[in-house]
Amino acid sequence: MPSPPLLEVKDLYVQFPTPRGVVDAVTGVSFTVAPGETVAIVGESGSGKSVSSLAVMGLLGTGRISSGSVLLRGEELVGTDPERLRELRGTEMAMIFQNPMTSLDPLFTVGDQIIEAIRAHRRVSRREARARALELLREVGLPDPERRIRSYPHELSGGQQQRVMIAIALACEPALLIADEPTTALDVTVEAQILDLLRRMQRDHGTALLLITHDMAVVAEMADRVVVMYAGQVVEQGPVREVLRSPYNPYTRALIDSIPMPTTPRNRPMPAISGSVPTPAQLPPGCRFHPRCPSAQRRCGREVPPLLEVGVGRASRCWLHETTGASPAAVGGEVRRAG
Amino acid sequence: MSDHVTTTAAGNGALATGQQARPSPDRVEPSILFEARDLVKRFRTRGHTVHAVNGVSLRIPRGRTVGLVGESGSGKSTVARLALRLLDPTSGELHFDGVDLLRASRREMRALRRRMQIVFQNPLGSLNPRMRVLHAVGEPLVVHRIAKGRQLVDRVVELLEKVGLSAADLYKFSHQFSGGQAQRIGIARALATDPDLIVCDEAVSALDVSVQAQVLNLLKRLQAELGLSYLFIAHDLNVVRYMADEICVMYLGQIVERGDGDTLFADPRHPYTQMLVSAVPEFAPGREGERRHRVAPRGEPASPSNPPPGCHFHPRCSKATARCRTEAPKVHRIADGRTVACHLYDPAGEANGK
Repeated sequence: MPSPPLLEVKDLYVQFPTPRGVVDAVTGVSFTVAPGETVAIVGESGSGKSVSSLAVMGLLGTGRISSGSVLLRGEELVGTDPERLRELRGTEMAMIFQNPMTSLDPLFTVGDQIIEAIRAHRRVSRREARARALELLREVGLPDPERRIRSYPHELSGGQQQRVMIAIALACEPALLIADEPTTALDVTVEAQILDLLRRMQRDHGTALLLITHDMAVVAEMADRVVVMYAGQVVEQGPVREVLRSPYNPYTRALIDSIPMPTTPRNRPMPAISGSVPTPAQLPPGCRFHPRCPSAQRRCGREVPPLLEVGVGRASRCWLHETTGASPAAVGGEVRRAG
Repeated sequence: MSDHVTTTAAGNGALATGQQARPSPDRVEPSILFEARDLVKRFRTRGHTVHAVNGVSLRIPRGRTVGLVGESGSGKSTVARLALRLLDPTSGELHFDGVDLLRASRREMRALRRRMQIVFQNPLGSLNPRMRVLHAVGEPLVVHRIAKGRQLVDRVVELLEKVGLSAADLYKFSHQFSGGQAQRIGIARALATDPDLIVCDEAVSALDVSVQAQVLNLLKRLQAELGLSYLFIAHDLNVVRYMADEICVMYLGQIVERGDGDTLFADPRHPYTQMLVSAVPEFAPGREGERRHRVAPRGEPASPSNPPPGCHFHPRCSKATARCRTEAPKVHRIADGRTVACHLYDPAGEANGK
């Protein structure tokens, strides 16, 4: 009997107000994260990957969840009391962001920020919190922690700031860590160290990781399962090795093909996807990818394909799968009967 | 074409005498369009000095691409600006098509600037939001008095079509385009004066992956059609490998290794290049968990205001010796078209001490 998921996002819809009216940034997105698991949400600009993670944390700003549910250990977060959400943030789920410099408060020392995170959720003395903060700084590999605990964020490098962010996020041992493009702003040699750190923290604390990224190689290195998003929808999901090695969805396949790798032939044009990602205000009819899809059929421009189960634990949103007789999937609330 | 000997004051030491650093060989070796020798650039700010570029030499053959790859503080963007004389070097030489750029008169420079252009990283940020496309792409033609009126419009349409846009875009503003399209506008603008050399400074870094591939294809196609040379600067090793014929790996203002992209990936020699190649996330869907760990990344790129003495990389280097801490390495040629600036490759003998 598999253990119940830690996080369950079901049929999530997120809207944002814009000068031209309300736009749907995320439409009907569902995914789960099991305890201790690493799930990557991958997509390009406008895919809705960041918005989905912010929705889980309840940090949407002007946006709102218009329908759907977010269950953390079975507890519904959508519409819940803001006080309860604040309690959960830090103790059960925490988030780190792309640019640590803008997420850390420039007016407080690094130590104070970790202590604040601890004392917001735990009844401990300042002295105990400080000792724990030191321990955390050591654990995240910050050199010279006794001195650095008194540093201000601007005195640290990007990589060091990100380590501090991780320390703050893990201060109260949350079961789920959400990382939104945690290494995108870092040099690659620093990125490698931060990814190593995240893996180590997961191993030592059993933390699940929901990793938002545009970088397929990071997905390949870090994740157990991957959720591919395009223009606000999930278009494919499944175990990482399987999806990356043999993707079902034409977008996933085209995306992987367009990534330059050490083996990419240099004397040929790269297989590029023509056109660009549609904005939420300009979604094409039917399948959102169809104008750019090399395999598009007439039906694709008229009807939105559902997410279909195409294998064990694998799903893909594409009309091509109907012709192979794939069975309908009860994946996240969307059920369709095949032909 | 032997390289001359430089003084250690310039910071990079001499090339082993008698050796020649040649650009990537081909059946017929193309002539050299652009050459930089021992470029040094220091910035003085509020009491301390930033050693942005510390003895960089490179050659760009006609119709070829030289890649510069490095992390923060490597100095690669400063080299881009020095190449076009957007900044003047503290010392060193710059030659474009045989002309000494640092001795050129203002009139000569103006004429030369038509032949060297640049494409920047942030497509929307580098275009004037108040300018329509016609103006943005046509401005170089006006400044250099190449065309005006009807002729200007025709030429701009021609340029737009070359980059995959059209006359329909003439009167739009940059914010009406996606990142990839805006970068095409930037490229059209760079092509306006019919240059021989284009410096691409992180030209695709801000683009989505699928769009990045489109722009790389466009750049390569234009190179083949127009015989362009590129100085291609990026932090993404995979992108540089795809674009460049020869890659220069930079660390803290110096070129630490030089060679063909495939060789650098397969057989990096400089400890920093090894660390860099190991650090690049590997897309190997067939492989389980652990990455190919050649060199575990250590430490962070040091600051160019405070470069470590001797070999700048020594604090992060697992193979550093006493000599590395005090003596800057010379550039050693280890194969055709390959150089490494590291004491480990000193043919004169062992690195002293341990």
